[in-house]
Amino acid sequence: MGSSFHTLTLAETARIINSGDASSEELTRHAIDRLETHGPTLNCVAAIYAEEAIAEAQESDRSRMNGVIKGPLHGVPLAHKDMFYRAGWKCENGSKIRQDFHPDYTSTAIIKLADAGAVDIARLNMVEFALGITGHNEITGHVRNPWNTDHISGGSSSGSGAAVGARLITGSLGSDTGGSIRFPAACCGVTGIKPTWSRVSRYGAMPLAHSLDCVGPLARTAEDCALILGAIAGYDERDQRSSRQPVDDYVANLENSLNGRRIAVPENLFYDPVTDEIRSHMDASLDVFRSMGAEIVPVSIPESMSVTNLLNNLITSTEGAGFHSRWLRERPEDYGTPTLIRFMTGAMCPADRYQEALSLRSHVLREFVTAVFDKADVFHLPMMPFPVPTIDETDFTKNTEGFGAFIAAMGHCVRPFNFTGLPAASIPCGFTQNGLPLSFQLVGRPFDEASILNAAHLYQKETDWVKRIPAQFA
Amino acid sequence: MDDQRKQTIVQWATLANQFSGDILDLSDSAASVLKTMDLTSEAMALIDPPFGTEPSEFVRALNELAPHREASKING
Repeated sequence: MGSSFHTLTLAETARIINSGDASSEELTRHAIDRLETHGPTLNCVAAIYAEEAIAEAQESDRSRMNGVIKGPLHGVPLAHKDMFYRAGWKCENGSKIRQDFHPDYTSTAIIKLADAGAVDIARLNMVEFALGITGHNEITGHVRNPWNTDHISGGSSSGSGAAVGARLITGSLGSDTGGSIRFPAACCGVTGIKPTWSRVSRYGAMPLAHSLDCVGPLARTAEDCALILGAIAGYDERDQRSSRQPVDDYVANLENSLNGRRIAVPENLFYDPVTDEIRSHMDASLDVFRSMGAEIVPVSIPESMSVTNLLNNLITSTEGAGFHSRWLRERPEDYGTPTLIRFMTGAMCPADRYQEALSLRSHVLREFVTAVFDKADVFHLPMMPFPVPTIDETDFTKNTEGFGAFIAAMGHCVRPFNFTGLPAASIPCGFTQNGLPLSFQLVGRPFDEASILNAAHLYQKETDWVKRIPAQFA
Repeated sequence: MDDQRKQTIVQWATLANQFSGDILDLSDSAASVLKTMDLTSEAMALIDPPFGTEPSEFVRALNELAPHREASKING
């Protein structure tokens, strides 16, 4: 079995460790070997901590032999976006500016994963300071897509998407301020969920825009995401903006029947830039939900949602410019060009307009939730409006003209749920004619990640999209 | 938006360009900021939130709009 460990999902990996059919050490060594072998092809690895990880895995095995199971992720090797602080590990954030940064404390999400038994084995590459959705990085190099290395991985959790997509690792933490979990998940053919804003503590996670930043998982399946999210969600006194809302048992809710459940689809706005090819895949995914007894309910999207994509950008770049203010003044030459331009754009925005953008959020959120969730349990819509593009055709330095419009189109269906703070997941649902994966999104009420993961899990039991492995990494 | 404010942003971008030399051209950024500012004005006019609305209103809305929980479905 050892040579095929990578074909297992995170949940399956946890089960074989728990049953004693394989040891954490075997699985950890296998994951390290795959990261070392295939990581350079995808440029997805920042650093591997083999010695520490193997020692931790051995301790997990001893603990299990003594009848002590730490939690649902006992002994499972994971690796994360290089923005989560671990005392004693470097944390570079995909940047030159922080290439010597050694935090002296560990992020809450990492601590909670360790408490659930996970073994932390590597830091994964990311877009510079998490500011970009394509996966390009002038400083550390572009991360590549495991389905075709000429294509983008999506960003900013680019290394997480590529590593999970190539089956180098079963799950990874990412962050999502404007789609940074969902884009790499969609481009690389894996599942990713941005929880409700404030659902997961951001303590010890590199900030980009505090009003929008969310920490969440990328993994092969919705069940895998449920396991990770269940471990990291909840109030944290070290992040006073984390929510005290109760946390659902995501795994226990996965098998709830969809018979009679209502799935909303948009009558307007979200399909405006969507190609016919993507639309046909969306229709096919809805047929699967219908076959499980769900009712598809068209809903009219309030006009106020049409401004949310751009206003999300305004908040991101303005708050980001605030965090980076000193480095922007003192070390502008140490940023990659796109990153510098995006932060400088935020520095131009007057405070009154930033405050206005924030003040609109609660109203837009209430209008949307009333329009959609008074009629349905979850909301279904496309992820990206077009197939995954190549690295070259989306290289900002080569294609400055029209780049802003391209990014706006890419974020059209995604960023509104950062602005409104609603939970949203990217679920693989096939492949476009260029051989790259595509996904739909499911959105839920605030703090209703359970309904999203439930619907996604049942969809994945009915289809085989998440079972497929890129040929180069099989 | 008044012309004076637009002019200030364009001047800021021009000045930043002079300091940063070959590193970047902020003319597109200035145009983008101006467009987004106009959009914010339009959205404010459309939605007209009450004076005093602040970020805590957003947290309140998230909590009020969350579904009611059954105790058996809650973790721990």
